[in-house]
Amino acid sequence: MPEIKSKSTSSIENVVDIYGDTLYRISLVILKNESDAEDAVQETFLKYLQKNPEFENAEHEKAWLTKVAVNKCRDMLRMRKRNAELKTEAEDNRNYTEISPIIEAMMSLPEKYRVVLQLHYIEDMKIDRIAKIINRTPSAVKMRLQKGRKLLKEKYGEEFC
Amino acid sequence: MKELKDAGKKIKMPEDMKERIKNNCFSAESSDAVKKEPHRLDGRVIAALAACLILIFVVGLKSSGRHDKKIPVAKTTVSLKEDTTATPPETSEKITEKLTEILTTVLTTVAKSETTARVVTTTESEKTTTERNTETTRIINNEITDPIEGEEGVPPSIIEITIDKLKKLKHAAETMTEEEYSEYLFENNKEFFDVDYARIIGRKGFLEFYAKIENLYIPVFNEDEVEYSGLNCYTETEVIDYMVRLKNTQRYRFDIHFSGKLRFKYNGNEEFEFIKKIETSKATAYVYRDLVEDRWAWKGFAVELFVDGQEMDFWVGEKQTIEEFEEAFKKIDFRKIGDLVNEK
Repeated sequence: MPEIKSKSTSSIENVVDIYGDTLYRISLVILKNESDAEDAVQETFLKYLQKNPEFENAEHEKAWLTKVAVNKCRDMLRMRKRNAELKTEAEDNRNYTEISPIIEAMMSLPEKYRVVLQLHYIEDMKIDRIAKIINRTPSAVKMRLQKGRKLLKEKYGEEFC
Repeated sequence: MKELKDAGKKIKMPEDMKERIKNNCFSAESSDAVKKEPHRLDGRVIAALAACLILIFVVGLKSSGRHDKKIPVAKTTVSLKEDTTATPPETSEKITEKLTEILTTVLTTVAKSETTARVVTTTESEKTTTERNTETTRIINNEITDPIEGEEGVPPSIIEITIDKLKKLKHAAETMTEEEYSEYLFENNKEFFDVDYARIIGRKGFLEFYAKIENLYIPVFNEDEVEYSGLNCYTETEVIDYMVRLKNTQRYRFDIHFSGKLRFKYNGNEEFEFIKKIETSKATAYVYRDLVEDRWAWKGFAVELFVDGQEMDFWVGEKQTIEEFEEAFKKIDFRKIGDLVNEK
């Protein structure tokens, strides 16, 4: 007999399949730790189940999930700051599977620049959407993108934009 | 940025991690550990209602006077020379004229453009005090330019304070013990996002700080201006000084809308010429007038260009003279527009 899944179970499985990679990438870029990134993504999907939000379209859904994930990651970063032991442990465990040099260079930038670079260039999000996600003005996002590109260029050392 | 995108897209969540997350979600749902919340009012409606309430509250406060409980803390008296008169029209016109001249001259020189500039100007001074006070203010505390060891990647401590948040924190500080206040900040860390300064200086410290700033006009400025202002505040005194300085400053923003055709000819290792349609674009200049020293400073100049539906923007940061702006603007690499072009 085929396994019958409830509507909600199918939905969450679907959502994880569709958005899992995106949320994982974003969390990894902010937290720089695979285990912490998994926790952040897990919490995001649990919140999705809990809040049971309604969306206008897929883009809206993606933005909602992204915002929750970004906020969760920032909470975790603040917790690290408060708890020196956790921070040390996370730094000792700072690891991610092999990534390319340009990503490595991006990961070395301050958080506020790598987040916007990630969301705009890798996740293809528009500036207005990013502004709502990180709770800044669109011009602030543009500023961070510009400065982020400049810093990335200095770190990576090549003409890429 | 194609290389960045391609490299980034290769990062995927490991399959075993994906399965773990799915299983955990199934377990949570079936064990009722996750209780679904009923659908609520659209967030935008709530935000709009809240904004109206705040506006009414602020306007009401301004007209009725303060009824806050007096706190026995030291107050700093600040002497200010405040000029509330509007900018003389001639100055405003001169600035507009100069900006238009820069755009057409520089674009013509650099890009051999045939632009027409339709000038529309708005100034910050036209906004009412109430409108200003309901907008977000930001104070930078400890702008960390070099990461402190162990804190790399953690953003600098920034206080984002809105009028209602300030009052909430003040009420908490007045009615709670030091320990309760600290716990309150921690439990409500989402609401008082990044209010590390309030946490660091504690309940009594925050009340003293609030007493110093409550009589100051909290100006409107956005992150762009603070980031590029070069004003790094490291101590409470510097934060106050910065706010005092901003209070002594009138801010103006000039928007110039323009559209037309641009003919680009770039002489470098290669030479090519093309004509591109510039859709309605905007140049924005931020100008500060220091009321105490009675001088003007050009804070920033941004150009947003829409070429064939693609947005390209340029920012020339803080410059002291219009000539410096012209020079910096000329150095903008318009080849970026050329990258969009397949014509040669």
